[in-house]
Amino acid sequence: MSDAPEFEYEIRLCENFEAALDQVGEAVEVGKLASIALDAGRLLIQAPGGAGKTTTFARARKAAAESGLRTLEVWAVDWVATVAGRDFSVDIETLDETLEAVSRPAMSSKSFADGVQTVLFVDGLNELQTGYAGVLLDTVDRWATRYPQLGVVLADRLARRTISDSWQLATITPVPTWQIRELVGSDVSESQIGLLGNPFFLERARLDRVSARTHREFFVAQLHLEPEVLLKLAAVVDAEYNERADRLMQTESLIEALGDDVVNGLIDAGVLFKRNDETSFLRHHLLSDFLAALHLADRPLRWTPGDFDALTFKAASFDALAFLLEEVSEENVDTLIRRVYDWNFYGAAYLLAHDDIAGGRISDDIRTALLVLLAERRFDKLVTTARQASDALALQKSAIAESLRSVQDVEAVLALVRTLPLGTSWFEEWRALFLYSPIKDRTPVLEVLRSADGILGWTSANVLKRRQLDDTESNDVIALLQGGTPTERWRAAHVLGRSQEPRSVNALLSAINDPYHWVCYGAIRSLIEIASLALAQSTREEIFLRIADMGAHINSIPELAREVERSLKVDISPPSWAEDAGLLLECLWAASKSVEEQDRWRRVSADLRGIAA
Amino acid sequence: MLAGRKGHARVVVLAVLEHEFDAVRNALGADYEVNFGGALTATQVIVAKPTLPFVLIRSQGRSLAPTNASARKAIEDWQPEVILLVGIAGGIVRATEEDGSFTWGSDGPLPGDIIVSNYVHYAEFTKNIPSGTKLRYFPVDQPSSTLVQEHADPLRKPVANIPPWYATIQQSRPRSIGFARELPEVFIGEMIHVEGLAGDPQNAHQQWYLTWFDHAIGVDMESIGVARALHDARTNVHYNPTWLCVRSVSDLVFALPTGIGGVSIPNCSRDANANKQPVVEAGVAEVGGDEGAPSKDDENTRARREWTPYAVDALGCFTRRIVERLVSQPREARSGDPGTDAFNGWVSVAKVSSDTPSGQNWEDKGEVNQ
Repeated sequence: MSDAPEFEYEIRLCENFEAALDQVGEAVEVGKLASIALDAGRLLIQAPGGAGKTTTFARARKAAAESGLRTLEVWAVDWVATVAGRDFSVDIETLDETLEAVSRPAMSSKSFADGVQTVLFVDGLNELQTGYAGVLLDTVDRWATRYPQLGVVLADRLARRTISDSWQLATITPVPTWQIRELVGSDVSESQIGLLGNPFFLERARLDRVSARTHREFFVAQLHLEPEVLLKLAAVVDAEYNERADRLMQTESLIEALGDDVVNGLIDAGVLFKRNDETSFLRHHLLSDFLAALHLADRPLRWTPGDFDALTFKAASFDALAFLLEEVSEENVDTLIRRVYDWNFYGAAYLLAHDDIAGGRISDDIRTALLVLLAERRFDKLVTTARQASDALALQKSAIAESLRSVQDVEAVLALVRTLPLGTSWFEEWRALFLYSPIKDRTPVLEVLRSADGILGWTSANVLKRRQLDDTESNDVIALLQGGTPTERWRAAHVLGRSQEPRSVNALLSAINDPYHWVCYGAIRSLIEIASLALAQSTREEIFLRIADMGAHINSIPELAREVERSLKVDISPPSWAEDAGLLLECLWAASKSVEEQDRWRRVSADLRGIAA
Repeated sequence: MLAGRKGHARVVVLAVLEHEFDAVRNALGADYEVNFGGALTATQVIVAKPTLPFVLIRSQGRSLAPTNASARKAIEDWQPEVILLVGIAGGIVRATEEDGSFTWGSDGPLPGDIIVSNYVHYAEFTKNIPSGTKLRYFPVDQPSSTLVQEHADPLRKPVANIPPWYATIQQSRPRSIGFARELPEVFIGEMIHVEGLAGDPQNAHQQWYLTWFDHAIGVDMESIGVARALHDARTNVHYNPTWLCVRSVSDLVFALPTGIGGVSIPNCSRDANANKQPVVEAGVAEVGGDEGAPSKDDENTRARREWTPYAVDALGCFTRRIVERLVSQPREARSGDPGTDAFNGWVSVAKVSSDTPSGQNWEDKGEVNQ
């Protein structure tokens, strides 16, 4: 086996997240990364899984050490697992305290005060749940502030993080086409170029052209397992994802499922690593993601929101979804997309972008409908949603995506949809629904709201939200919010975001306690949206005070608190918006259990009042 | 050796609003940008590299969070000995009660005066909580009493050998009555940090904290941000940053007498004929008794607009004097720190005096800026 070549991808410094998405920025040598980190204090390298972050880290660390700098490294998954394993909550203090236990070489953060220039490399941020990643970023940010002789470099996926301007962002470009052809042959197809621009897969292809055609072949070739053993391993990974939300596996479970010989074989082959705490992990998180996806591929009954949450660590990383898309049979591709869309809008958008470069298995009808729905979201009242939709649309390569990126309002999206060529009967059903006019049409929009087809169901929700509901419709939607299936309740909560009726507000307030978390988030969003559209300040005040009554509950669920924070940034807010929202923010502040939580609400308040600008 | 990411400055002057920043920049002669990083210093002090006597930076914004972030960044970038938070603020006027009537105090800070904090309180996010007012606490560093004593206190009274700090104020002092002093004064006392001042001076929440912190003499929106950043910077015995909070009063906040309802707030600005009247007149009136008169918001806004140019000019002059004093002494060498020389290469205080545009010296205090 020949040594891996040096892939000619570029590391580019980016001014902001948009530049990282577009891969625009000044190219820098890997040997300069340490000094860039020391200058800025914090360097965040964001790129897709397998893009070469770990290899880049190894080279940057070597170069830093050779130039006389002290270096240490930490694997983020190991770090968080160590904190959680001690039954501590994962916060700034506990991450600080456990650094010495997980860093190589072992070093306490107190050592950073000794005046020696030090570069800390943190790999695997992309493998953490979003909440944990945020805490970890806050932890290293605090160190960078306290210790000017410390520079931190972190590897992450391409995700918009909540970080200050002090952070330097960077990204990694794909391997250039000329090198792909040089390594695997000039006959490589255009669709393979997209796949092989990723060094992780390019290296597998270089070693074994035969197994270079699909991700499955890449992974199977690495594991060297019989098909039935592979499926057993996939089942273990799936169970860990589901039961413990972790890429670390219980070694005992592995041995039980595969036997000692197989486990030892994987360890000897350098594919599996044992930790000291009776857990093991596969050498790359993409391997784990592939196996988890493999287990779900022929189990459509498990394509549920709960399973997607487990597979993606609550939508923190969509790589496994992409593998799932590749593994499902042809006739199930569109079903999968509909189910993913029903669970997470951005997950579906990620699959579209992935499918652009790796297969083209999604039907044109579904693709077009999803892109249109994404474009409509660009004009969402909630600024964060609109920005995420724009980010997701920016990743799409198709011609229609290009057209949709340039439209200026929802009316223009509707106009564009009217001009699209005739499609299948499903597409025409969807188009009629999307363009629904209450005067002309007889489409039973409310019935479609309950559709098992996630795309039709959510399109119906958006259509209903666009217009004023009559009394009967309001009753029906509220009844659905109170008695529908989890997904129906979520859609109903979304629809009510444009209602101005007190009974809608009452129903949404109750829904904040819904057992299904996405309904809770949807209810919070809709309540805040209703407040932002209310003409009377007294209405806004009443809504915020009533949400404030649940301050302790909201603070006790980090994702719910995050949803409040995200939703308060609205497009064209009433003049007294900051003051009105202050009624809620002060109660959340008072209900906070830590200074960090208090700070969060102070920051939100300052942002709303525009005094941070 | 003290060294931040961008170098070392003995003093970081942190200003917030643009006009405050501009006034302080002019007073310090800070026209040299250090390494294109947004921090300014005086061209004269560049000779002192690698240790700069001072840099002037602007906060990311008002209120706790942005000021805290700016102070943290300043510490990270410059590892200063001292952070000097400068800006305008509200001066608190208190009423005293006797036999059922009350009198507005006239012995506290008034517009154009300087407040140097010796203690900062945090009082915000407490007004809308149904269960009543709540205070929350977190560790902070209070302003250094040594710095207050060594550098602010001596500026309170003129001395024979140095011109007073206000000798270089160029703005005309407004003639509004209600503020009868003819020269600015320096007050040392407690400051309340709030997240915003109510437009209505009688706002219940505002009155609550003015009463609760009954010794406070000023109100600002940034001091706790710096106080907290200083505390967070304490990670080892080798770094001991301190700070000072310097505020110039641009308008007044009236603390109503406890238990007396229906009190009117004195107008901040009146016609010039009332010039001889007491500083702030005593009086008891029913709220609403001034029907037809300008609203309290209007009065406050007018007074602030009138006094702010003078207040920021005074701020710049006082800041300049404090910075001169801070860097005029060397920092002694010690283990791990080679120390720094004193910096006296600025334009001398005496020269500043003789170059005053009005040509007056500090003894002409009765005429200064009239």
